[in-house]
Amino acid sequence: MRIKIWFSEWPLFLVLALLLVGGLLNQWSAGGSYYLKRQALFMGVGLMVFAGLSYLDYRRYLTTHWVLGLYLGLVGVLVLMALGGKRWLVLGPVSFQPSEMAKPVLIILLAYLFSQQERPYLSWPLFLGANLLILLPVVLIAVTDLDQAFLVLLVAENVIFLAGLSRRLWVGLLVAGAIVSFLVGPPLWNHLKPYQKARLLAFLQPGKTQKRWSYQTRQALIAVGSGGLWGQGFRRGLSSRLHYLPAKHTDLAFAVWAEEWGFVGSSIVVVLYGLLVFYGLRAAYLARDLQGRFMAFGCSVALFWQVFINLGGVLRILPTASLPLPFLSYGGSSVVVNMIMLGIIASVLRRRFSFL
Amino acid sequence: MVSKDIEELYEKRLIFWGYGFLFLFFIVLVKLFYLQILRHSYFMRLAVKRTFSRVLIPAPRGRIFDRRGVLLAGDRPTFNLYLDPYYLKGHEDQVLRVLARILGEKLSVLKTRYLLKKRQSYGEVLLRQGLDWATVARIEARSYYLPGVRVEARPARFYPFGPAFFYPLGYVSRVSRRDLRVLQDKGYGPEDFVGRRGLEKAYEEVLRGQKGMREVERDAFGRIVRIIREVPPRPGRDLFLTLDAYWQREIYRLLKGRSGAVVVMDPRNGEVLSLVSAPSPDPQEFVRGFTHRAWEELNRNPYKPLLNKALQAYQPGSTFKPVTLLAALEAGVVTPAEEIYCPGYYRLGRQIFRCWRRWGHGKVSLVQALAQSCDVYFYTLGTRLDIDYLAHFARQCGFGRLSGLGIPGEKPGLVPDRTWKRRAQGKRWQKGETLLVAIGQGPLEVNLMQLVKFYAALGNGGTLWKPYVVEEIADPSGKEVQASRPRKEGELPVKGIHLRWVKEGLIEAVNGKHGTGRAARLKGIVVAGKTGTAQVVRRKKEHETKEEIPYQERDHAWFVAFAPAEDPQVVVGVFVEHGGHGGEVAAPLAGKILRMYFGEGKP
Repeated sequence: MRIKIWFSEWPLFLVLALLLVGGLLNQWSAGGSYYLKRQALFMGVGLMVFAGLSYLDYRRYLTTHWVLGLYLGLVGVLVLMALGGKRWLVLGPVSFQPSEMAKPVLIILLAYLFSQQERPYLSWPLFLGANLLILLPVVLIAVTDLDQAFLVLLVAENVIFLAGLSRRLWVGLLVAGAIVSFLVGPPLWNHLKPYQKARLLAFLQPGKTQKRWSYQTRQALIAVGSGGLWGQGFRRGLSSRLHYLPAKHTDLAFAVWAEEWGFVGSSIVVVLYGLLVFYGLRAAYLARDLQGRFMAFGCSVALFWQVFINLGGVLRILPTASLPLPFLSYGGSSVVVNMIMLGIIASVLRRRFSFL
Repeated sequence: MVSKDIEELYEKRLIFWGYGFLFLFFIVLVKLFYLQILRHSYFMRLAVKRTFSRVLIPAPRGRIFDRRGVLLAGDRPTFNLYLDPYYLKGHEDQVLRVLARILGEKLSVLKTRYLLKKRQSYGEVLLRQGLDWATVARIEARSYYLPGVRVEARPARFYPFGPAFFYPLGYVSRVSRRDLRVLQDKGYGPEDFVGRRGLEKAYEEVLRGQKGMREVERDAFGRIVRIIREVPPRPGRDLFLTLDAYWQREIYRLLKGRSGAVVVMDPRNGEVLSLVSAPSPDPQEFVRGFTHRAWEELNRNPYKPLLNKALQAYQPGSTFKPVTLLAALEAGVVTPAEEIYCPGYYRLGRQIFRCWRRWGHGKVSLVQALAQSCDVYFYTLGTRLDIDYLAHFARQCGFGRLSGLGIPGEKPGLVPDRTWKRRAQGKRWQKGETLLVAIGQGPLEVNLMQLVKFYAALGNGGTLWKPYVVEEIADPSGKEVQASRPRKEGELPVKGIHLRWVKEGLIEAVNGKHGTGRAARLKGIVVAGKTGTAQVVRRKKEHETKEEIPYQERDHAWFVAFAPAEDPQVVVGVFVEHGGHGGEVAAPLAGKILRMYFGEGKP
C-alpha cells in the first residue's frame, strides 16, 4: 500500500522539483546571487512545510476550533495591517505578507463549512454566510493590495461554485450583479489609483497609451518576443541584463524566463504549471471526502489563477496585475504559501485510499 | 458517507473546471507561440533598436591657410552655454534671471532669445557661445540654482583675421532646424556646423571630414554598457590658398570707409592673391550667432556688407572699352591711325550721346581714345559694330559667364544682345543701345573678377587663365596632397598686334599727360590700366558737385591695371561702389596696392 501511494505521487514531486530548479535559475539570472540565496532559503522552508503538511492528516486537525482559530487569527492580523496601511508584517529579521495566507485559510474554512452538508447546491443561508466570511478578509486586503484581494475573492468564489448554486440563485446573482455594477462601477472607477486605471486603459487601448503607461507591458512583450524559439541564453537576455524590465525578479519573472529560454523553455514551464494544476484537480477528483475535495480544488484553483493572471499580464492576455508567479517570482510569502497549498493537495492525495 | 449522486455531481463539476483550465492554458501557449515564433523578428528588432545605438564622433573640420601657411580658419575650443527646456519648465524666469545677472544681459533680451532658439533647436538650446573663463566659473558656482543649465567645451570655428577674410572664406554656422531636413541624409546633426558662404561652402565636402561612429549597448537608463564597434573619425582636409593674409588685411584697411572690392591676380597663371570686399561682417559673429539688432543693422547698412562686391555684377563703364576696341580691330572697322573728331557729343538720329568731357577731346586716335577714355570715339565704333558680334566677342573674353573662381554667390553678369532684349523685354534692339554697350553702359553688367581676368589676358598676350584661390588640398597628416594646376580657359580671339595697340593705350592712360589713370603711376615700373566711371543714374543737371549727389546715386568707380606693362606680374582690379570717378577714387587705391606689391612701403 505504501509503495503504491509513493508511486502515484512522484510525478507531482518531479513537477514541483523542476519548477523549483527553474525558479532558482531565474532568480540567479534576474535577481543575482542575493535573491538567489534568499529564494533558495524560502524554498527550503517551503519544502519542509510541504513535507510536514503532506504527512498531516487534515481530518484529524481541521476541527471547528482549528478552522475558526485560523480564520480569526487571519482576520485579526489583516485588521492590523489594514489599519497600519501596510502589506508586510515585519517580525524581526523575517517579513511576511499576511494577505498571501488568506488563500489557504479561506479554502480550509470554506471546505470545512461546505463539507458539513451534503446537497447538490448550497443552501441560501450557507451561501450568504460564506460570502460574508469571504468578503471580510477580502475587503481588509483590498485596503492595501487590490490585486491580491481580487485573487482571493476569485479563488473563494470558485470554491463556492464547486459547492454549487441553484438555478434561481444564478439568475438572482446575475440580476444583482448587473444592478450593482451599474451603481457601483463609476464611483469605484473614480476611486481606483492612477496606476490601476492606467493598467486597465493600457490593456483596453494599447496603442494610445503605449508611450506613457504600458512601458512595463511593452518591455515584457519585447522580452518575451525577442526570446524566439530557443531563447537568448541563460543570463544573456538583453532586456533583463540591461534593466529594461521593471520588477524583473518579481512580477515580470516570466518575461526573463521566456527571453532567455525561448518558446521551448517557456512552454515547458507552462506545461509544468498545467501538470501541477492537473494533479491538484486529480486529487480533488480522487478524494474520498468532501473536505478533501474542496481543499484540493481550492488549492489548485488558487495555483491556476496565480499562474494565469501573471502570465496573462506578461503576455497581454489580461491587464497587468501585480501578482507573483508561483516559484518563479521572488518572494518568501508566495513560495511558502504555494508550498502550503501543494502540501494540502499532497495530503489529500495521500489519504484517498484510507477510510475512516 | 457521501451519497453516490452527489459524488458524481462533484466529479462532473471538477471535470468541467479541468477543461476550463486546459482551455486557458492553451490560450497562454498560443499567445506564447504567437509572440515568440510568429512575431519574433518584430520584437527582436524592437529589442535591438532599444538596446544598440550609434554615437557619432564629430570629425575636426579642415583648416584653411594662406599661401605662406598663416592660419585663416581653424577650430578652437569654446565654452558654450546650453539650457535644457525639459528641466527648465516651470521655472524658466528664475533661471534666466540668475543667468542674466551673470552674463550681464537684460532678462527680457535673454528670454526672447531663449524662446526663439527653443523653437529652432532640438532638445537643448544653445543660449550663448564663447563664454570666458570667469563667466564659466560663475555659472558653475551657481549650478545649484541653475537646473538644466550646462556649460560645455566644444570646438568652434575661429577666424583670426576677422572681416578681412570674410569674403573669400565665407563662414560656418550651426545647422538649423530647417536645413536639417535636407542635410540629414548627408550625415549632419543638429550640433554640426556647415559652411555657408565662400570657400567654407564651396569646399564643404573637403573640409568637413567624415564622422566617426561608435556602436554601443545601452541599458534602460541610457548608460553605455559596452562599446561594440568603433570607427574613428576622419578629420577634414586642409586648404592652402593662393591668397596672402598680409595683403588681404592691408587692402581691406585701404578700403576702410568705402564700399568696394579689390582683386589681385597673377596674370601668368590665374592665382588670386587677394580677394577683398569691403565692408565685410565678422565671420565670428556668424559662428556665434547674431543678436537680432546686430543682424538688422548689418542689413540696413548702405555699404551692403552682405554682398561680395568682387563677384557682384555692375556696369563696367570705361573699363569695358578695350573689349569694344579689340572687337572693332578684329572686325577691321577701325585702324590705329584713324582719327575721330570728338566735339563732346555724338548725334545718332535725334538722340544725343554725350562724352564725359563736355567740351570734347578734339581729334583722337586709338591710343589717345583709350588713354583719355573718349566716349565719342567708342560711340563711333559702336555704330560700326553689330551688337550680336560685340556680345559674342565679349563672351569670348570671359564676360557674361562665371569667372571660374569657384566661390559661390558669383553673379555672371549680363552681355546684352538682340535675343536677350527680345526675351527680357520683348522689344527690338535699338541702334543707340549698341553705343551705350560700347562704352560699358546700358544693360551690360560684369563683375570685378571677370574684368581682372580679361585684363590679365590683355597683359600676358591673350591667355585667359582660370582664376583660382585654392592652391592645395592636404590631408592633416600631410601625406596626401592634392595640388591645383593653373588652367588655361582660352585665348582672346585677337591678333597679337591688336593687343599691342590696346596695351599702348592702357600704358598711355596711366602714364600719358592726359591719361585718366595717372594716380596709379609707379616710379620705375610701367603700369598699364584703365579707369571706369559707371553712371548709376542719368543726370540732367551736369554741374552738380559730388557732395550734392545722394550716395545711392553716385557713380561707381573702377580701375583695373597690370604691371609691369611689358611682362605683367600682377593685375589689380579696384571697384568702389558709388565712389565717383574711377581716376580719382579707384586709381589711387590701385596705385597703393601696386606700390605695396613692388616693394614700396612693404613692412
